[in-house]
Parts: sequence; structure tokens; C-alpha cells
Amino acid sequence: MKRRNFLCWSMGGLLLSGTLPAQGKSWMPDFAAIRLAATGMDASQWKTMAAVQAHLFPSEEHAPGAEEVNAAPYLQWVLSDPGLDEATREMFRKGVASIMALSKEAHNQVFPALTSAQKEKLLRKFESQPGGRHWLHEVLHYILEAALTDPVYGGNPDGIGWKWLGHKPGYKRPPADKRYFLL
Amino acid sequence: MSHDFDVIVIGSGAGGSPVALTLSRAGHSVLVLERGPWYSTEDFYKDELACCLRDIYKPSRREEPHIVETERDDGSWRAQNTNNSRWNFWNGNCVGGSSNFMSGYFHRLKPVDFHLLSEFGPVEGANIADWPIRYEDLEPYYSRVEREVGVSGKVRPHPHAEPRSQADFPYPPLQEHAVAAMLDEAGERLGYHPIPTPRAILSRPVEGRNSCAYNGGYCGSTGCSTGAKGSARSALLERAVATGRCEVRPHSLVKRLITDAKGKITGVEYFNKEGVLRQVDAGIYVVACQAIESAKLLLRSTGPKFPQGLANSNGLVGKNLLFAGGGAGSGQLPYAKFSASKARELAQTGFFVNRALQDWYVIDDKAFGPRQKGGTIDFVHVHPSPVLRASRHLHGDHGLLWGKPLKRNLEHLFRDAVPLKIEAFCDWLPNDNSFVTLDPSRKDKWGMPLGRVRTGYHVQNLKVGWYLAAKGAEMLKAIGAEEVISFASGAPPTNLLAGTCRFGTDPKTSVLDPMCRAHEVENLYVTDGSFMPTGGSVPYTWTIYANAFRVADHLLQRLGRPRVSY
Repeated sequence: MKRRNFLCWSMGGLLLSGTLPAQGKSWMPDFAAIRLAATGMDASQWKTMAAVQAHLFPSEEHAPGAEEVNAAPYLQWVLSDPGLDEATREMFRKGVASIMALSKEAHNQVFPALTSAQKEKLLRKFESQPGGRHWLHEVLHYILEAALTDPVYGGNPDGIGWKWLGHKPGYKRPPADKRYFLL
Repeated sequence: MSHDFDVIVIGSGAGGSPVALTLSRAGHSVLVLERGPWYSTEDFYKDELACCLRDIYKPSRREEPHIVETERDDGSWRAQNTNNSRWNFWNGNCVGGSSNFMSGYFHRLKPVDFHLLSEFGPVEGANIADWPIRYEDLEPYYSRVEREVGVSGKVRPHPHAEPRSQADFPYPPLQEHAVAAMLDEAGERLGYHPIPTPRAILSRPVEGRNSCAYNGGYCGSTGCSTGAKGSARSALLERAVATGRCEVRPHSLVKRLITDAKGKITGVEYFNKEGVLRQVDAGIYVVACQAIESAKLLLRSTGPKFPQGLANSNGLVGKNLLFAGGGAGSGQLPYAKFSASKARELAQTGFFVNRALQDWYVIDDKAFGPRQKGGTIDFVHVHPSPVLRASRHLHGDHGLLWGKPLKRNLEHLFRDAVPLKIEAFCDWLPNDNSFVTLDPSRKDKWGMPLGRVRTGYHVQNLKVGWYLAAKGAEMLKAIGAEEVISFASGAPPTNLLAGTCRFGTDPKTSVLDPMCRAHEVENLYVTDGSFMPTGGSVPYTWTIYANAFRVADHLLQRLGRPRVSY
């Protein structure tokens, strides 16, 4: 049952339509098939999350940022895992809600509309609040996962994060049908 | 009397597999019960999510936590559920056990390790005991492991080298990283004796196992994709199964060993894959679930003669738990310090550093104190898993590091230097505050009591750990490393486990006899690291393998000719 859940979770519509990915070929999880409801956050909350990620890990000409490493859809995939405990989803949701509230209170604007300096100040303020540091640490951790885990999981497209840091992956790399939740 | 099998082995790792192979090869029928799944070499990848970030080779700590007890500053004990904590006492729950995920740094114990009490006398606050066997008793089995499991290396004389019956290793050393020669040169300058670290990794293919694919520091925590690593599964158990007389049942978690009124084991009760309880029996039972889990199994296997747990009338099952004591350190070897061609050589990530120092296996240094037991220093690559490496650098001086400063920091970390590590091993002194018990009320998802693990360490671990780590740091500085740090820690490494069923000649002070048979139970043997009264100052796996082969030879004698000729 657990395995079946995992399959449905990660392969989205592909499995249901009976189309399995070609074995061993480069294949990404179907991020488009993720139901936001399963992540515990709605679209506007995810817009805020993506803006936080982009601030924590900015895009640069010579170095990929959160957007280039698929940080937001990667985190959506993590949070929609049916095996994840509800407390983790709740922790992420509450943090986003706090940032949205802080932004409205301080600037009467949504977080993504703030200037870079305003975002920095707000996130540093949030860091000093109870639970804020832990939340930011977790968001940063999953950005690093999106940047540096195997592309077969949907982050790090074409090894963009590995190339940036000159990291050489080990032998052998996992094919799509041997991702950890399928073993 | 007819049994389902001649022998049942509980646990398929380094303690169980030598028994399964030796007995099945000789014609006896063996059943191996393994709680985890059966992965093959083809199922192992260098997948950081699988090995290290999602812990898929371990049971869920939500469903099967331990209670860990750590000491507060005031000397009281703090109990914590390992669910949602950084503690995890599970290791490699699949066929082949944690040997699938070892780095395979293989050092033998030395003659002195077998009689620490006689050699150095008692240490206050430590339960040091001599072993009931000598190095000479185990030496033939260390040699057997070199052949059967496959150990590569090169013997180089040094002041604390142990005697060997074979001139050299059966497999030549693995390809070495440029740092190895630099450490050799530095050792010569400093008057130390770096030795090639023996590895349980094949440097040439043999019998269905391929040679190493050279992933540098990736071996630890990840399963081997070529079969070169000498896991119990690829080196031993697959051969046992090929005899046709060894059956491995994965997804089979043993609930208890059942005993009769006389205290003899009459069967094993286990949960199968569907969670249904099944029973099976044999003439001999061999427990090898790793030190903590073996103790838990005996403690929960109560019976008419053993109300306190199997073989536990003297209350010693679970006591004198050993981790590995020691220190650690690190340094960066900046490419900018070297010529372009040397820098390219240093940037090669596949080959192994494979150097160790055992110059202070016994420390005879007046400035440090009386002559005493020291340990081993291994020089290794930092584990290359990039998320783990990067995520250690999220903390800045003034809060979390993010934005461009974080990215520049990561670029420096990954691009500018070879990161090197020191691992210093000393004895984890057995003591009254390092033990395993069963929680009186809390249960896991199977309805079995949770294990409680108290992790008290002796201050001697720290002293010796600091001493050794500082020597390692001196070597790193001597090869030009920068940002060199070294330290010791009392935190228990949860992947290095021994003790809990120490062997000895006196049934009052030990659980097992010198052949690792329970004093109180004539058909029970324990063959993982549990038997060790003291652990030595090296990783345990080679000794566990060797001792299990020794016990297996004893069992061959005991069982005599197979009851059925094959």
C-alpha cells in the first residue's frame, strides 16, 4: 500500500494513465501533477515561499538560484509525500503565514512585492522570532537538496547545481525506476 | 529430534553471514532471518537522498524509535525519543546489514587489545576485562577474512604492527590519491610511520564481484554498485545461498526466542512481511542483530527459566555497551598552493587517501602520563555527498547564512581546496553508564518494548581522543593543509557498536563463554560485536567477521557430519 501511494504521489498522472517512464532514461517527476492541496499550502502561499527561496538563494549570471534549481516545485514534491508527517507540513505552512503577516503589517504589501532590502530586513526579523530560525534553516536545506541531489528527483536540472560547484556525482547514478521510494 | 533447520541465524550482517556460509558450505541447513529487505548490488546507487537524507535503509524512527539517555552537565540523565531528534541507532536494516554501508577501513586488533587489564591495570570508573582468548586464537580468522571477504592493502612495518601469518594482503592496494604520497613524505619528516589503510574493497574482480569503481570517499553510507566492497551480502551470503542449503528470509523480524523450562531454545517467533507471526525451529540459534538489537532481543525473550531475559540471570545482557571513542579533525588543502599540474592531480576525486597512523596504539609519552592504551588515526576524504557538505555551512557568525554570502562560501568550499578529514579511534571504555535496557512502558509499532540506550562515556576517551586527533592535525599541517582543526568528543558514534553480551570464562561476570555460546543456554550463540568486553581502537567489522568465522568453525565441530548427505 505504501509503495502504491508513493508511486501515485511521485509519478502523478503518468502512472494512472498507464504510461511508465522508459527505464533508465532521464525522467523528471511530473511536478505539474502535484496537487497543491497535498502540500498544505495554497497558490498565494507558494508565491510567497518561492519569493523567500529566491531571496535566500538568488539567481546570478554565473550561479544558479532557487528558480533555476526548481526549488519551489521540489519542495512541493517533498511536502506532498503522503508518508510525510503532518507536523512538518504544518511547520512550513505556519512559517509562510507568519511572513505574509509580517509583510502586511510592516509594509502593507505582499512579500514578493517588497524590495530586496525590505525582504532581508523582514527575514532577519523573522529569524529572531520563536521558530523562525528553524523554519529558515529548513527552507535553506531543501533549496540545497533541490540544487544538489540527483536530477532524477527533479531539482538540479541537467546537473546545473553540480556543474556550478564542480561536484562530480558518484557511480552509479540512480535511474528513474530505482529512485529511493521505489526500492 | 527433527528440526526445520540445523541452524537459525538471526541477522544477516557481518556477524551472521560467516556462520551461514561456513555451515551451509559444509552441508548443514541454515535459515537466516533478516528484518529488512533484500537489495542486490544492482539496487545500490550513489543517491544522497536514499543513503543519507531519507534514511531508507533504516526503520522509521516514528514507528520504531529508541529512547536515548544523555548526561546533563549536573550528572543527571536526559531521556529523549529518537523520533524527531538527531539520534538514530538503526544501521543498515537489509540483507547484509550495515556491512553494506561501511567504509571498509579494516584494521585488526593487536595482541595488547586482548589483555588491557593485565597490561595497563584497572582504570577507575571503567569495567575493563581481559578477553578469554588471545590474538593468536583470532589471527587465522583475520587471515581468512582477508581471503573470503577480500581485503586489499600492503603490509608496511611500523612500531605497533601486529604479527601476521601471511606475508601480505591477498589483494594489492587500491589506487591512491596524491595526498597519500604527501602524507608518507610528511611522516618521514616527522619521524612517524604512515601505513596504507587496509580496505575491505576489491582491487581486482573475483567470483562475480567486480573491482572498485573508484568513487573516493563515497563508500561510507552508500551501498556498493560493483560488489567490490566486502559486504556480508556480496562477499559471503550470496555464496551461502548458492550452496542450496542456506535460505535467507528477508522482512522477517524476530519477536522472541522461545525457551522451555530447562532453558533450552525450542523455536523462534517472527513477524513475516505481512506482519503475521510465524514460528520456526532449529538445533542451534545464532543471534547477530548488532549489539543494541541483539541485547533487546535477548531481554524481551523471557521464559520460565529466564524472567529477566534470555541468558540474563546475572543481569549483564545489555551492559557494557561499546561505541568507539576518539577524536576527529579536518583541514583544507588549497589548490592555489600548488602548481597547475599538481592541483589537477589533487582535484582527482576517485582514488583513496588510504593512510593511517598507529604510532600511538600504545602511548608511551611521559608528558601525557603513564604508559597507556592509545589508538588509530585514519586520514580520509570528506564524504562527498554535496547536500550534507553544503548544509553544514548554513550557520554564520551572526545567524543563518543565506543569499550571495552563502553562495560564495559554497563556491570556496567546493572549488578551492581538497577537504581532508582525520578520524581518531580509541577504546570506548566500558562503564556502568553505557548500556541497553527495555523501556518499561513504551512500545514500537510491533507492540515490542522500545530500547533505551544510555550513552555515558569515560573521560579517558576524550583525553586519548584529543591526543590522537592533535597528532593527525600535525600531519595535515605538515602537508600544507589550512583551516586545520582537531577535537575529541564524547558523543557516541551510532554506527560503531559492540559490547552488551561480553564473553569470558566466568559465568558470573560474562554472558557468553569463550566460544560465544551463552553460559546459560546451551543452544544459543551471539556472533555480532556484542561479545567484545573491550573494543580495541579500530572499527569493529573485521574483528566481528573474524570472530564469527571462529565460532562457525566451533559449530562445525559441535554439529559433526551433516545429518543429511547432500
